Amino acid sequence: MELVLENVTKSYKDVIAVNQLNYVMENGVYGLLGCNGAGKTTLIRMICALMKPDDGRILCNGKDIWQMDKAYRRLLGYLPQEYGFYPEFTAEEYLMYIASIKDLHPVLARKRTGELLSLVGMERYRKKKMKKFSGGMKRRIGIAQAMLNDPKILILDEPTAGLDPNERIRLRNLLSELSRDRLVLLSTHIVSDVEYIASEILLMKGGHIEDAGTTAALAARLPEQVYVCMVPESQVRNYLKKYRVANVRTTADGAELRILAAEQPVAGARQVPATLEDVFLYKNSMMRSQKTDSLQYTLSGV
Amino acid sequence: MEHMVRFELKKVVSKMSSKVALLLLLVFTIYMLSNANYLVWIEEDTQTELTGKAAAQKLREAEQEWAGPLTEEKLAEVISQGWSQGNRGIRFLLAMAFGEIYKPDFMIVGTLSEEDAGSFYENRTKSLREWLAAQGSWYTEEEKDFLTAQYEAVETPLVYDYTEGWTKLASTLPNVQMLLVLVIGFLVAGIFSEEYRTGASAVFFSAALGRDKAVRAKLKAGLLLITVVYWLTIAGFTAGVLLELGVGGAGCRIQTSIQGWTSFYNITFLQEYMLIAVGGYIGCLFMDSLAMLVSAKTKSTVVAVIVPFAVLFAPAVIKVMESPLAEKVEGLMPYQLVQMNSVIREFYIYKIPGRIVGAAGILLVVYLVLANIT
Repeated sequence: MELVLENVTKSYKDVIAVNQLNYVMENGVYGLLGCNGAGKTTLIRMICALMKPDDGRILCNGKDIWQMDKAYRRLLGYLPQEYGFYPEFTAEEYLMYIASIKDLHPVLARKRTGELLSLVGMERYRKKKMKKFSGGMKRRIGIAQAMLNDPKILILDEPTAGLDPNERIRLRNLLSELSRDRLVLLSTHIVSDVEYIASEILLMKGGHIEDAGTTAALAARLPEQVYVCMVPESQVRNYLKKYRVANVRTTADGAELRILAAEQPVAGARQVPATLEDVFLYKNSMMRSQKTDSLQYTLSGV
Repeated sequence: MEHMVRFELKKVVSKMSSKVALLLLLVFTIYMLSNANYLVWIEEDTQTELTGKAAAQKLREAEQEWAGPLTEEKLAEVISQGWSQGNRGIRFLLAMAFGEIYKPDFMIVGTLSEEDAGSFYENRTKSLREWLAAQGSWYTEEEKDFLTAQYEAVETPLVYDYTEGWTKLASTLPNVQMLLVLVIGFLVAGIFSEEYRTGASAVFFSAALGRDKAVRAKLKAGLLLITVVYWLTIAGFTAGVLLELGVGGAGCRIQTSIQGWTSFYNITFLQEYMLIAVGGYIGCLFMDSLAMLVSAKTKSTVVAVIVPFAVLFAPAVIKVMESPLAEKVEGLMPYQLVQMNSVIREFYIYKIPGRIVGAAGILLVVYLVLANIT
């Protein structure tokens, strides 16, 4: 399975959401990472043939997806970010309905429904109405509906949004299981999700792919190093102004900072391997000295 | 496809708002049924009132004494006998025949002599001619000739019978039909837009059949809902009226009732009922299909719900304009489909190539075609 994005462009009035985007994807798990407004959802909606590009085209095994029409949608499984359902339907009824619009024979639909309910751990809730489900349960049913037609292209937009840590881990493991022999595109702004699952990460910013590769490759290309150092709490603000700070952790002895810098920011700072989160921070933030509004950083242990 | 239709129906019917709407339809239909069946018979010996089925039974017995052709002799007998509960219907016809079009003269009936009975049928056409002359150029000469010819074409003597069930149905069914348009409109308005409101549209339209068969299943579910709810309600209401008031007189001409006396449609009560019922169905199909179309285009259930209201009540604007053209436009408004009883009574006539026709036929054909296009 090969999906080729050729000069894909989409605008909303004066805003260019996706700008001349080119990329080739084959079987494997791709993590689409970007801040809110980076153009991820617009790109995904175009890949799902829900929205036509203003310019450029998307090819599936060499054929334009809009010309393939139904044949392309047969290959597709999609879990949208805003995932709607029918509150009065039970989980089983919902999956049987989606199976019918995916053109599955009722006998096969029943078999797949049973299998997937079991796979997502929802078998014992099959007769329960969906309006009674928690966010995580709905999300799991959402994944099951996307998998009903055993799609060759599986698109998941923010699959872990709104889930508690346990649910997220469960879902990540489930996605790893489902990702064999197909092209999976996972869009999120939660860095750790893609770090665990994706074999290739696409960093999206301002409507185009800013960088792509494995976590190691992206980290290797990072023009700055990552340092961890202890500083007095009173000096934290100065460091925030001067550097990209990935993390601030206050301890009894002061504040431990995780800093992205071209050279050692302070004597005693120790260099550590860069993570995807560091790469993401580098690509998507400016130092406070470059930006007047608040810097994006994570506060932990405060 | 049938599988999908079943799910689409479940989506609509399982909503609490739909259940409330159907319950309201049931309650209002029962209320209108009790109003339709309200009939009073006074026991002259004891001066006691009978209502409902008992009153209908008494009235039927009394009116059936006068059943049969309304000959000069029978009319003379009614005139000479004076008012009674049994000949009330025929005396109404005398008031129509000796009054003016649309202005029955109830006072004159008591002053008529037996000899006047001879001019009963002649007077109907005479009143029309006088009324048309008074209208000046409102109607063309061709239209006037058409109406006169239709009046003259009535087979006389008219055959009279007890027809309370049918006349009550004709006058009350349109209220039920208007309610049906609104309630069904409410049910089908969300068929498309709810997919967007709930956020289910992305999964729906990215599915293999989401843009053809699944959309057709929605349309099929909508049409099925319109058809089933409409005909079940109409059948229930009709059965409720006819079981209470009786089915007699179905083959009599509508001109034997005060409501149908002025009509230029020479049809029976059964034909009138069919026209009203089928007209209402086509009206529901058209207005509620329009609501579904608006639902799909605007992605808004609220806007779609407003459509049947607007189509039903917007004609009030046209009614304030008095001109032959406004009258012709009014006669072809879609709301007339659920007011077929008045279409049958009024002089809505149109010239189509080669002939003049009434509004009823045009309404049925035009809106059936438009409902299909929608």
